[in-house]
Amino acid sequence: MSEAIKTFFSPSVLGPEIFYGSSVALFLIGLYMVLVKKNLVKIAIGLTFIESGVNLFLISIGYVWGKTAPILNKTLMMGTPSKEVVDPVPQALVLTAIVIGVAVTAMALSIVIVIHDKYGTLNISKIKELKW
Amino acid sequence: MVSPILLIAIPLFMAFSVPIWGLISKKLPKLVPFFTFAITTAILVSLLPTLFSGQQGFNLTSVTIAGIKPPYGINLTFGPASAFFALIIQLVALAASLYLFEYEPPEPAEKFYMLFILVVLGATGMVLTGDIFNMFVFLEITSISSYALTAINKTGHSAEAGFKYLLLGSLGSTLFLLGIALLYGSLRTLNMAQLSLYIHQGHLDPKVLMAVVVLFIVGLGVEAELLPLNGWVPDAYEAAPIPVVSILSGVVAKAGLYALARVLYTIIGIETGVLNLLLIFGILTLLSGELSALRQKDIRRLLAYSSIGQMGLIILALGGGNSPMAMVGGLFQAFNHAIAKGLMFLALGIMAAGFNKWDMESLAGVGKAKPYTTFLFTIGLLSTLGLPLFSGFWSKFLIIFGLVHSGQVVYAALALIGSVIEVVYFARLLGYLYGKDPSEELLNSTLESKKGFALLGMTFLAAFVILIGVYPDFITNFILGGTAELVYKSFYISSILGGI
Repeated sequence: MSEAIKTFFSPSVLGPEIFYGSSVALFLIGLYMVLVKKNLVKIAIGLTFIESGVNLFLISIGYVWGKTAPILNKTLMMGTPSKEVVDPVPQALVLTAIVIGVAVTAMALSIVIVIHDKYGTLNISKIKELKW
Repeated sequence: MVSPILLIAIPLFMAFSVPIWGLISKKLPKLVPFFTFAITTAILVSLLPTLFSGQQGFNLTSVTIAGIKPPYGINLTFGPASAFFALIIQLVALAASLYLFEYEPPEPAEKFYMLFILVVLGATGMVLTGDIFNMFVFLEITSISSYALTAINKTGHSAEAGFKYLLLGSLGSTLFLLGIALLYGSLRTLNMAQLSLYIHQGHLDPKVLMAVVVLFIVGLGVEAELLPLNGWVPDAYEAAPIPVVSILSGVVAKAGLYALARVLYTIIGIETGVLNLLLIFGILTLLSGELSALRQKDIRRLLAYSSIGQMGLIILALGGGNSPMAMVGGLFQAFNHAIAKGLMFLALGIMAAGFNKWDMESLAGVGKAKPYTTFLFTIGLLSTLGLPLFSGFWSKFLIIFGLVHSGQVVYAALALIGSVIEVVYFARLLGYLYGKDPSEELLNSTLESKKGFALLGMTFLAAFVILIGVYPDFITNFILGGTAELVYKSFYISSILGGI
């Protein structure tokens, strides 16, 4: 059984496309939540889904199948590090993007708290102005 | 020579030191934004002479950060276009920070001043950076602080407007990040000059390029108030405190506009047909903004829609980039719009001070109750209309002339129709402000003479409107240099990466 799973996830069968596919899926799920859901908290969660989708996409762009993390250690120093690690730049970008995403989510939720205090509901169709 | 990096470093330090000043004295935080922007404006002005040396008549300095040279490290660029937009941002911020002396922000006040400095800091960073991911980070600094400032009144209305802005803004910047990811995936660089070089050499698949163009326009269009993405504008302008509104229209929108122009002109390049896209988006934004402004009773909403219309006009002018004249007009209009709208919003804040009603009926006759403020407001209004002797005249003239010159006669005609609609609602507004007798309530509201510092800031902006209206040469050097910097890719690339 585990052999079958291993073959299924080996580069020859799926390849890195699985990452691209799932990042697109995450993005679309998030977009659906933002556009369709009526609950403000669910919309905020949808935003984090979209961000995760883009972050996964960035990471998979820099990922090289079968290579290791870009952390310099003794084993890496023996060979040629540049040929054995994945691209470190997207990982640095994603770290920044995750922090920014957390800030946006925190901001969104704190606004949602104020809205709930003032209107007593989280349903956007019951709040008078929040339509476009 | 002082380094342009101080334009970012000093506000960053000052923003986070606001609570410390607050410990010393409760009055001190109020002064911090003004002193910060006074210092940064002085630094910027002292840097300006370095721009106009060298053989082309202008020059672009690349500032390396942390000692790693441009293609690998982050760099700041200080050329005419960056300096021009930085100057717009600093001038509006300086006037708005003078207004803050007379404004009581919602508690805790320290937070308000901190966010206020951060918005301007982020916008300055967007304008100066030479690295596209760095631009995204500064975009997020600007937009997250402006979401917070929009919602800072903590009323139901402002929270709604803030959430609307947050939703559109964060979606937009995520799409911008996706565009950056696509570019990095194909070209393996984040430096704008190198990206521009690789795209120019044809290393990017045209399909990917098209996707990137769309993602960038949608991503930056939220801040630049493009048509389908500007649903937040009227609500945010109505709900946010007045100094914040002048910052939103004069600083945030201009930074978004610069980012759009930089990305589309320098990185993507105008030979790819993006100009038609800009023309269509621009004219739709212009006409929808002006038509919606016709129906507004609330002056803040009216000015918000007028602001959308003006941004549409600028985007339209950028789309006429086949003729440098339209492009020059567009950058000039960006300056005029920032100064005039900033002035109008600040003046409106004084007109409604101690009174807090914003519709035309309640403010009717304010020209008799608060003559000097209304006079300043009128200067901004006439400049927006494009009357001769006001700075708005030159830019509108250049845009229409440039559009006709590049063969876009239909767009020029439509832009003129937009201007006529503008005249209709602004004339009606002026009729209300001067033609009626002020109500008892208006006469009893706070006197304008008690708001001296705010008037000082507004007079400063109005002086610019008149000065440039009478003597446009004061600023044309900048705009010509800025246009050249944006359009001629090879100049930008070779200034940063060295000879090609």
